Amino acid sequence: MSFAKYEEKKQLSLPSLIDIIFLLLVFSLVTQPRAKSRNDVQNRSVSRNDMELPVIQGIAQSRVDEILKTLMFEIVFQQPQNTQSPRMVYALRSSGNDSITYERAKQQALRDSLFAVFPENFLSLSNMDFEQTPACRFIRNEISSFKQKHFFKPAFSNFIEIRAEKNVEFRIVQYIMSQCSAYGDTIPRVTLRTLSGRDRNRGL
Amino acid sequence: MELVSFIDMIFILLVFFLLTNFSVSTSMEEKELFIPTPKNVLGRSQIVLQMIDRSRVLWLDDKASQIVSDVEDQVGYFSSERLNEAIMAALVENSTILREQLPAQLQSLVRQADQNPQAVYFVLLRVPNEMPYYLVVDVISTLSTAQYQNIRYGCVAGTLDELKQAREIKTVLVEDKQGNRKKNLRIDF
Amino acid sequence: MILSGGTAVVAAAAIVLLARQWMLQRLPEDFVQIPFSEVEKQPEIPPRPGIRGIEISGPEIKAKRFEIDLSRSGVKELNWQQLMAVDPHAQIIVSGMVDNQGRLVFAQRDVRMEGHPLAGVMIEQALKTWMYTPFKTGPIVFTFNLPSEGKKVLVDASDLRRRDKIPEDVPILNGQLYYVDGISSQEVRQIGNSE
Repeated sequence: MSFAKYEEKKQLSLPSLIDIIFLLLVFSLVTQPRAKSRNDVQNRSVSRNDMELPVIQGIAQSRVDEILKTLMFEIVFQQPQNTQSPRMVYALRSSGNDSITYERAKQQALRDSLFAVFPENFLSLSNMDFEQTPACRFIRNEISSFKQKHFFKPAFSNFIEIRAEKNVEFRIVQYIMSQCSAYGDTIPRVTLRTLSGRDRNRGL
Repeated sequence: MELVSFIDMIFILLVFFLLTNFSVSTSMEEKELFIPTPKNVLGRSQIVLQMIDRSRVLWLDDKASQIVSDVEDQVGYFSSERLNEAIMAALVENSTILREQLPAQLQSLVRQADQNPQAVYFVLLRVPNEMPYYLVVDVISTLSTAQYQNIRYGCVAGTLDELKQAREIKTVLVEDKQGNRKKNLRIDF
Repeated sequence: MILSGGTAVVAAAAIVLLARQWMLQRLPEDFVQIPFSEVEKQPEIPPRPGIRGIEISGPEIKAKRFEIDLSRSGVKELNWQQLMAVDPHAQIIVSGMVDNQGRLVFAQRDVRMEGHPLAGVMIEQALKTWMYTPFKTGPIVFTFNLPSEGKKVLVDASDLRRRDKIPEDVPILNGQLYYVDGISSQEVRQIGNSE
């Protein structure tokens, strides 16, 4: 009497398959942010994520959204991450009536050449020579024309935004502030874009 | 066996949600920090912070006028240039703090402001042109955490040498409307 | 059964995700709707830093009071009723000095009590204990005129001067320079300027 070997028919184990799928999912979620930032470098011109903004601890500041509220000067290093490269300033113009997003404003700035480069020796220039550099003249003209179109009287709500790499020298930021102060209380303040942790009470 | 796999998957779901929650809650977002623009007038403040270099800060508060007063008593006969030098030397010797000590001192000021909601403080930050502006942001972001928002602040460009070359540094007696007298320190550029 | 187990897991995951989404939507909005009337009210423009010069607030200069320092131990009051009971016709003059520690210092010969020794001794014993806040020094003269209907006590502090270590810009006011129980302030005259 021969006994036939009883072989179990092998079946695909569904629970183990789902197990593996979830493991792959978790793995990709954890690793994905890093991969995404490398890709962003390719599209640097409209990327918001690779600028090293100053980080603050306080939570009392206002959050920003995508819509540009006012004229924004973005100051970056011509070569990303290279603090020795010249500083560039972009003027991102908001529009009074329509909502324009940051990305669109940046694309317009690139298209319309609304940017200027500071000379490499800008720190050693005298105040007069510094103010005569093309970048400073550009900033001055942008503030002047924006003020004529949008700021008619002194008001707390009149302000200019500055978005700059954290290592940008104070001289540039201070120049923008001084140009605003030339109009007295009409432009009484500037805002600096910073990075801060999300508010804990938002439950996210 | 299926039950074991089932429990396995529950744990993986748990890990999945824990991880996603963690990564969302620690991400940063952009915020705005307001700074008033400067004005061409005599500024008044309770505290002046002069960044000397990346590692030192000159902290001038109500104790500064007494330091200057002592120097005036000792060497008031000096020419104005020499007197300014002597005053600044005394201030730098007695009022300089390291940058590492600055956050604690700012927090102490914020606590003081929180305990006195009726008082209004004004802090002026003077920064040399070559300093990275995130140093300014660090100071101002701490000051803006005052609970009753009673710490006002401003920042201007300025160096220690400009203070030393000021036209005049002296103490002045002022009386307010309530008749309270104060000995203030005035620096005229 | 295997299929139903997997389906159950996927369904559970979907339910959890939906629940999370619902919880997120219930969070408060970023901005509260402001009534139209409030929109017109602009916040005040905060003070802007001045660059022409800086004035840093100094400490408040509180005036100091030169007066009897009751916080010191051993200061005894002069009881006017007892004095009147002993000798109602006495006229006593005490010329003393206030020293750097605020003590009233005088010798027996500085007490003029001709014909009124009992009253003189009482006054001397009380005045020897008097101490002042240490802000002024110099001579001080007390005149006790018991029979007077008007001013019974005269304190002449006009020759007192501020101590050297007190800065000139600190005002020194004269407070109460006597410690006598049983008379009102209208019956006392103090001579001497507050600074």
